[in-house]
Amino acid sequence: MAISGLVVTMDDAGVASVLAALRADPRITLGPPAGVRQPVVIETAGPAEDDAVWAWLRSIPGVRFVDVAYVHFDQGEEHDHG
Amino acid sequence: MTTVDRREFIKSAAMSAAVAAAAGSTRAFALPVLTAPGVQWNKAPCRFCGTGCHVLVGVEDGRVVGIQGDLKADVNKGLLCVKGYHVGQILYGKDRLTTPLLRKDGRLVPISWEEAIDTVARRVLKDPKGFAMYGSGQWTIPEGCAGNKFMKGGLSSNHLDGNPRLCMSSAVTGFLSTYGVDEPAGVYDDLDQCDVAIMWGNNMAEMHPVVFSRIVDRRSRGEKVTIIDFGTRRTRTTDHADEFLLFKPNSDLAIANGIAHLLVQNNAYDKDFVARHCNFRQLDPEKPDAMQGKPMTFDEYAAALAEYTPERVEQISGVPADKIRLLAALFARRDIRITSLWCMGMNQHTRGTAINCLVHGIHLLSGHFGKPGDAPTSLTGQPSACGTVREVGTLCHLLPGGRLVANEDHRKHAEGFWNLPEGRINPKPGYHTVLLFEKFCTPTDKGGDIHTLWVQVTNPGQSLPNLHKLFKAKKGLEDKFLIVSDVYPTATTELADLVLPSALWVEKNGMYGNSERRTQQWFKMVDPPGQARDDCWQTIAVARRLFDLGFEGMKNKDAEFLFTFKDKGGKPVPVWDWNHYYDINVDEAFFEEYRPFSKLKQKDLAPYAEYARTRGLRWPVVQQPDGSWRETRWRFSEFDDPYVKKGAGTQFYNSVTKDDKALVWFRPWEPPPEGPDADYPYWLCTGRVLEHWHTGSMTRRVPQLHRAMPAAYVEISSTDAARLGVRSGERVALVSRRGRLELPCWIGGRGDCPEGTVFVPFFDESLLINELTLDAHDPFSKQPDYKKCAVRVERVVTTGAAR
Ligand code: SF4
Repeated sequence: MAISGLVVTMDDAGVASVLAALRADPRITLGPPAGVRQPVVIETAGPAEDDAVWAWLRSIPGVRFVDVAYVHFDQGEEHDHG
Repeated sequence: MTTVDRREFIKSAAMSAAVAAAAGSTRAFALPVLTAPGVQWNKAPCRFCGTGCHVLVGVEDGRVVGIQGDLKADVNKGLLCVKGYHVGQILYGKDRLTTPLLRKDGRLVPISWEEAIDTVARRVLKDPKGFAMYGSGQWTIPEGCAGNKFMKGGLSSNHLDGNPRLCMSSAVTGFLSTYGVDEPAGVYDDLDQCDVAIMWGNNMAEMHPVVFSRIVDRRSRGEKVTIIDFGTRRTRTTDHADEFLLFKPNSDLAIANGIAHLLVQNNAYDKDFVARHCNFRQLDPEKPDAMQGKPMTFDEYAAALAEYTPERVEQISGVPADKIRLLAALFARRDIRITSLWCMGMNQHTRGTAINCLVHGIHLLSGHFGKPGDAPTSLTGQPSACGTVREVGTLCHLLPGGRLVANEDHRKHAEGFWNLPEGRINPKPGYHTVLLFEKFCTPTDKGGDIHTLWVQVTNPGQSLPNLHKLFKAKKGLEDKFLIVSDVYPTATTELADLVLPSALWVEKNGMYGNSERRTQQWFKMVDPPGQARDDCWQTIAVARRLFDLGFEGMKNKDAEFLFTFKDKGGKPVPVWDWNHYYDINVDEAFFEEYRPFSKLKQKDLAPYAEYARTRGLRWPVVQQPDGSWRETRWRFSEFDDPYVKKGAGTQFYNSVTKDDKALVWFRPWEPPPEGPDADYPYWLCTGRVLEHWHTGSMTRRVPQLHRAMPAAYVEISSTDAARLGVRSGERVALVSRRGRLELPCWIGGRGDCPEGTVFVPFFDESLLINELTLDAHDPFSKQPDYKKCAVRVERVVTTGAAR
């Protein structure tokens, strides 16, 4: 199980299309927006899928950047060097 | 708690964090805490920046399993930034160094600790004068004490310097030049009380997010606080600023002089404060290298400032004359409180000492000093740059407690406290960082007289400027030997001849000193992996090996081992033997030996036990009649500082001029050593990002942080990008007189450079921007300038991975 809290920052012009794309994905829960900054929670089966969602989020036209606010980490996890 | 409950709880924590970060965008937030039976929580300062937030570390079955912001901590009141929440994971990267490694036939191969320690000792014996040590503000206070005593008290060598030379030594020379003593007079509490906060080239929203949130959160409580952001590029701090003043790189001295000029010309300076508490100074043209300078009268000071009219300042800096007037008008007001904040922007500057002095000068001239909210305050990047480096004195010219190696009395004090034979400490300052690495990377027969360098707890192979010259030139020099104590492979271990695996953060006892004079303590909570061991132990073990080999310097005055520590019964404990290292609390022993040093310059420290009990105390910490220990928030101010004479109001008791007055300096603006020209038409500025700390050797191993900011990039203005024909994600090459680097560009990202400037963060070891930076440094602080050098930008035809 992987759960991340993120902030997706959008271009002014891209807000509607980005939000539509986010809403269409059942793994993503949207929080109350603050202007062009949209808090979201991603819930996936594991780190690989979490990674894929991240990569997809960053590639959506109109997304300026994706900030990490919180990531749940499981005990016993070891990490590769990026 | 059921699995479903637990998942819902985690989801709600994730959402709270995301909502807080999105709404405040201050990058600091509090989270609910998932508690579970069997998890032991204990306090520690965060491992990363000089803010010094406290975390609670949850340990279960010998492993760190959780982190929470510490509600009892004054510094952060339960908040942390995203790095802080992930600090526990830095312990668990897959490639932790777990065994000593020696380079044999070009390869690093595992060896025993015994062989490793013996190898280091024999490198010392080769020629102790050519053996140097390089530490950092990541050293704990006891680790710094050990390194300092080993080098200066044991080897009689001052070739000990450290990373803080690269990040805050200009702040030190600024404080010393102005007040005669280092470190800020104010504290973070000023941020709760100021009416105006001025960021002098300081992207606090990303670099010190928790203290920045102290300012911004006041607005959400309905308080008015004006933020003025001086910068050479827009950053996330700019998003919160009432005024953003874009200035041309290197023109900050002109701006500061412009403000001072208007205060004087308009008769708007604080005459009473100046008359009672200030003298005036300028550099002595006959001795331009002398930091003490020579006196000047107020009239001479006013005349020197006269050329810095708002219009002239506008010409130099690009800041509109009206804005200079606005700033001067703010400083002229007596009904508001002003706090200035700065960090690398002012310090990493070939005129770093000068601009530090000028900002102090504006505060003194206007009387915005010494009242809560009225303070010139520098911040630090490293967690113990203040505690371990500035206070313990782990630089090549310092001894503990603000003493100098060149001062005979100070050497005598140190010899006394360390119980050394008279004359043991060398009076000649050692090599500062740039010179040290230059000597190490120069062939011996060409004057490179440092043959061995022991690096502990830092990564100069990535953080030094002009890396080809100051680090990579070591390659192929057969008689040079690099020893690196670290927790992960880094750009520095790549060239190491011997690698020593170290314990990290809560795998050992520790003490740090943060940016507001707060000394902090924590206890070891988990074991280090494999054979990794404390850096402090490594130093002691090498010293002991030298002692056993008959090296005289490792004996004290009574012919005992230099690091003799006794148990409660007075029996010496063989702490050089790892099996006995934790038989006593070595940290406490070092700290109690160091404490008496702290009195000379009124930096009094409390006993170790007080720090174990509290979330840190700000010095001077003075014992009260009832036996309790009281910290000091505002130094030099009678209402809070016990060292100020009754009735004095303000007293600069470490005054350079010995009359309890501070110095207001005149320092002219001068052009930079390197600026854009026809061949290299852009300014290059380097720096950090929110997710990564320093060279990224820890944070890049935290998957979430790595994923959030996976690689370095070059930030470039949309106008320049259009001119070059590049789009976000496409690669460009940056070329300076010292190196060339290809990296993807980012347009309209977090920051925004003006035309003619590019910005590159330095956290990425696969994209070493410091191969391009300049090693020119401030003449007094010897701190290099990472913020300004000239580059050209070339479009690279093959496109690379987009961000
Ligand atoms: S990195 Fe700095 S600001 Fe962030 S939690 Fe750690 S000490 Fe606080």
